[in-house]
Amino acid sequence: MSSSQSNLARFAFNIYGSLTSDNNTPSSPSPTSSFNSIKKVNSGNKLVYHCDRETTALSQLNYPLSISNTEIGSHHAVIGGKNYLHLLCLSSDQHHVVHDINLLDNPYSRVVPKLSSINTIKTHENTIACGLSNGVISIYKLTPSGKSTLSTKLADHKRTINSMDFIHDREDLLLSGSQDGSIKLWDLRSGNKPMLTLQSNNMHSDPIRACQYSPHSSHKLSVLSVHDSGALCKFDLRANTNSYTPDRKWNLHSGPALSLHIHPESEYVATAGRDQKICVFNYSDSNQATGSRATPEHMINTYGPIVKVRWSAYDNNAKNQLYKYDIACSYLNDDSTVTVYNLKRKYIPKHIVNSYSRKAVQNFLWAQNSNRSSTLWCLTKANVFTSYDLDASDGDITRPLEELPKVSMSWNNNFGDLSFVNQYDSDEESIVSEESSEMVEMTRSHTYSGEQEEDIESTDNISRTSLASAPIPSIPFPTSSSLTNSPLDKPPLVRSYTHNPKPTSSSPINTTFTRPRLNRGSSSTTTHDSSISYGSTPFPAPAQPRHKKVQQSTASYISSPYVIPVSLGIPSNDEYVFRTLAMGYVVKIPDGFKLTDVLRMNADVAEDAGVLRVASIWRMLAIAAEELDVTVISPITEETGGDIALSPIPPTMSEKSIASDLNFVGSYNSASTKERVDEKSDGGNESPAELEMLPSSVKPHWHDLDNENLHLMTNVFNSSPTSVGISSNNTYSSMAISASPAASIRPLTASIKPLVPLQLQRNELFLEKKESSTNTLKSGLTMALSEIEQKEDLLPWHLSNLVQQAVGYACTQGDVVFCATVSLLLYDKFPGIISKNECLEWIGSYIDILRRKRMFVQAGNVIKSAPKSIQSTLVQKQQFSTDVNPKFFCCWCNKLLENTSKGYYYCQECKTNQSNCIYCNEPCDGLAVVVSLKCGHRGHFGCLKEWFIEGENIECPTPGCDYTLN
Amino acid sequence: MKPFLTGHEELIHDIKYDFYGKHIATVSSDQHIKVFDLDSTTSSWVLNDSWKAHDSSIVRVSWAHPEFSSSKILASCSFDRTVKIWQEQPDELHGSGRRWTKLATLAIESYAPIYDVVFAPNHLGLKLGCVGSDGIFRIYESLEPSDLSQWALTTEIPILNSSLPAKSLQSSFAIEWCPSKFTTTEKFIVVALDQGFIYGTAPNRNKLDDSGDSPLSQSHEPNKESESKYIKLGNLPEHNGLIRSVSWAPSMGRNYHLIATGCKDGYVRIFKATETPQGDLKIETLAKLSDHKSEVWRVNWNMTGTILSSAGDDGKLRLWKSNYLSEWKCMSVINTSNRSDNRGIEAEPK
Repeated sequence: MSSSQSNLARFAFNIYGSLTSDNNTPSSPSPTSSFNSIKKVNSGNKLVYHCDRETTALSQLNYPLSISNTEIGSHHAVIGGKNYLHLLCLSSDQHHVVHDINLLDNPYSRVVPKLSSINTIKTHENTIACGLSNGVISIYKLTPSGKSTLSTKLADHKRTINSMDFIHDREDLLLSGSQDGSIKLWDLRSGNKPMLTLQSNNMHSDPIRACQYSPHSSHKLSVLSVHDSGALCKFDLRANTNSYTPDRKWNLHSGPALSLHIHPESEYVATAGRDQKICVFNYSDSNQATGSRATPEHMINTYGPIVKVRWSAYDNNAKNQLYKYDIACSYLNDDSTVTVYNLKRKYIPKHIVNSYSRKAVQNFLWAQNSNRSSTLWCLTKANVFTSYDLDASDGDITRPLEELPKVSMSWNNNFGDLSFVNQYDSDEESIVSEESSEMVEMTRSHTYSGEQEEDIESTDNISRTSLASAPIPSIPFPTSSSLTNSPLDKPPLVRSYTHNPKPTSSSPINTTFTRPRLNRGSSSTTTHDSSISYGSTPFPAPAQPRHKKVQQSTASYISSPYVIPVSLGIPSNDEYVFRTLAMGYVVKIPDGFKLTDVLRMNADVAEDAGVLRVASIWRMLAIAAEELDVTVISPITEETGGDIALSPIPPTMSEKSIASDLNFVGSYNSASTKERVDEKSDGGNESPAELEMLPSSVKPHWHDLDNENLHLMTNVFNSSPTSVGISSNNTYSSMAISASPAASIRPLTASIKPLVPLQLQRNELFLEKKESSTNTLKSGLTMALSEIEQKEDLLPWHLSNLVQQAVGYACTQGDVVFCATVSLLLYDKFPGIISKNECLEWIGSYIDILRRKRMFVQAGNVIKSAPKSIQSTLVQKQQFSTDVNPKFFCCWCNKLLENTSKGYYYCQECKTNQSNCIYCNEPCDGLAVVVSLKCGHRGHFGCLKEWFIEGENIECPTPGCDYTLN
Repeated sequence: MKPFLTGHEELIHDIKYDFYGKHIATVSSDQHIKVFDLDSTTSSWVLNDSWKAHDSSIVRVSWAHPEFSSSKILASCSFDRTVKIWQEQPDELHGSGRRWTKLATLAIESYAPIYDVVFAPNHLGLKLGCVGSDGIFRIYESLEPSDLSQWALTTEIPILNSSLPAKSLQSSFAIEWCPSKFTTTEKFIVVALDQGFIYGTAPNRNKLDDSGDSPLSQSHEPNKESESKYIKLGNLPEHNGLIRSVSWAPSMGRNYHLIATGCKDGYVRIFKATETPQGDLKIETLAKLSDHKSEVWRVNWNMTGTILSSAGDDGKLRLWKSNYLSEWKCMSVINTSNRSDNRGIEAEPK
């Protein structure tokens, strides 16, 4: 609704130009408005003034006025328009309009002078020059009391005056550029004939959009102009022997160049045009490039065609001349913004000023003022004059840098891999940062349970990578950034590497691996002639393995941001385990097997993969399933023992180990009558000290498993040779048994892994800890669970209970493999344990994850083994098709054929039949491989094979086609 | 995996893995998009191509699901008021700057900077949503499977009832589609300034769809009733600042949805949205986490919706996980001292 209204308003605005829609618009003044008819609306601290006529031109008069014997400031606004020329005398703080003087109003004459619309205004001291759209220049002189007299009218241009400039050091010279393609130089003291006429092209006039006198060319009288042709011309007024050709001419813009402004201090000019670019160009004589080969020093791409570009009035004390002044631009269309750039950050605007009531901007300028603040004056197409202080906080001024995210992150499709970018944005002199040193540090800050937070500072300093800036061999670069910064709050256990403070200048390895800089064409070349090595970082040199050297340009201010991939060392993030499980699990009960067997097979798979906890759960489910089969409850202890005998683990130890896993379940089903389990769960509740008194023979076995496990993982996942330092037995066992909530983050990450001794921790540590934490919470849980227990008839070790608990836990852990496999095996057999939605979700996301990991065979297998009752939904909703149903496109117009499934091979779009097989004249459908001959005739592979090979023909089978194979 | 330089000349604003995790796209304020390929032998990232894509800061990028095209497709959005769709040309050389060609320029109806563009999950077809600072959410759909340069605007929803408040210094918009494939309705969340709205297809209408008409006939319907297709299901309460980011967790068989937001007021919020039988959403706040102590820029769920990552202005990445008591706890903090004071030598061009 609101959008349609605003569209209507925009539409109306486009048609009628200006609407006096604002309620603030004062009543129309009397034609002989005196000094005191002040029309201003002061909204907040900002000057807003509504003009009562159509206005186009805006300028600033820097001339001290004293009206009615009161000194008012010396910076005032002159606004011109159609039959409108007003001087707004501003208070010294520029927040108020003190006087509004109608300069056209002559108290000594009764005739109101007819003035056609003013197109441009330029002031110098007390002289106001107005360029009119009919080609006349009117010069007004102002007295200090604010009275104006028309001093001269200069009429020699044939068309609209687009631009004027005073030649500062000779104040009586005026320069004017017109649509008729000529620049004229006027001496205001003498007559009304131009001293000089310059034309860029004598054949046809190239309209001048803007011209300016260059005050920086010391021994020359240089004048710059931009033209509709996009050219920037430089004239030398003294070498006026040939006034028809410019001294120099450069083509910087592809469309009309609409504006130009010379840098306040040096020989740089900013030009802008309809091609949405601002070019900053060095026009000094030393620049020898001519014609189209000229490339600007800097180029700023903007989001709209630019109509005005202006350097700021005051510098910001930057060292570099180009960075001292901001550049503001306004846009041609209905864009309501003025954008302020600074060249040191040329991609992100420094400020975006939204005009008053979001009307298109007609004109703007950087205003001078007494306190040298950066102030913009804007004149909108709704004839509102507004002053903006860019440093103040103002709802109309946005600073895009603050809105742009500086950090970014993305999860990979492993379960715990992510990449992130973190950048420092500085508005300071040296903008971003050489991001020279970077540290990835992972700190465990909380235990999962949130209780008994032991302050074991198991901070794992995963990686500490330094990006050292290395000098490019060709460019001498005095120093590189020092690398010694480290965070202040460095944790005690961090292995801090002493950095080599400065890499030496010899970096042959780097250059070897440097990718060449991409040339994106001259249009975007800038001074940033960097040779940053894109893409992968160079190989760490063997001599300095911890330093990744990055070539860095000397000219570039902003060293390139980098992406840091992080791999979380959580158990579910183990690619090898995932693959082993996904490939190994039996998802469909084969003929002749029982559910129990399949569950046991899966347990073995899990054990092979090293996830003992999951293996135990599978075994437990197997036992429960067997109980269902036998319907005789046999003692669970025997089952456990017998089951484990299958595994290579000696029974005594394994019983312990598995029992510790069973603790988890035990605590859930704490009302269990099983003595054995109770014992164990009690054991789990015992103090860590007591647990440490367990037979030490248990420990080595765990370590064996561990070593095996870890080596497997490292070998598989890190193609680089890795030295794995397993922590000492004591440390390990104490950690494991006391279930310290140490971070389970395994430093798999890491950039600099190869030579860093990593302290790899057990995967299961994570889980152990969880279990122990649940044990500590037992009292509350027991109560909760026992309530549930009372409601249910089923025994706590009944399969459905166990499955629900196991799946629920796996779901919270994100173990989608387990959830999906259990659903595949049990959903049809035991309805009610797993809801349909859960089953769909788990299997669906499992398939999705398998596809992400490019395990398409397993994905297909899962789809095939999906329970029949949900298979159709799965296929339909996921668009996982079980059978191949190819889409056909018209061979003539490439539109999709819609009815191929019904056997129609007729294109609706171009109304033609598809070409059939040239041999059998049947449509080529289904999975038939279609072979296309060089003559364009097509046919089934089998048909053509029959024709060419078995029939031993060499001609194309099409009658009349004389194509032969050779 | 080593950190790698991107070669961007300005801040990177977004980074995305593709479906298979073998490519990374980065977008930056320097108006370039870069795509990196994973070199599996050295497990390093190699530049695929870099090209100037927009005329202003590029803020978001999104990969299309690979099932829609044989070559990869990207969408990017920028403050230059456009959304552009890009397709890889496998024949062009790597790093030639021509490897990715523009298929379409969208959102030209918008006169405002575009803040977010996201492809819908693949079960909804090839379509994308985008939102700009004009506060209008738009859905574009691909019309021709054979011609991906044809996109049609099918839905336009004004998110903000009134026009933008003039006093807002900054603005922030984001979109997230509901990733769940088996819910009855199609849902997405749009955050605008300090408000978050969840929209969805009307449930009764969608039940008709469930009773078995083909996807083809569905795709024609939105043109007719584009305005009424989506209804507001609920909104996210209690934000005290601009919402910088929103993320919708994969459902993983839960009977509720998890939605996380990162807010300028320094909080990461986790919401639980339960679908009522009437089709509405009951939204409750599960957690308010203020560990960043500064503006939170980005929140993301991992693939199973069990770990939430959040990145804030403090330069730290935090990972959150729910413990057994369903409390969300910080599980680890990843710190980069990227923002060190050590900025090296400033070498000014003459």
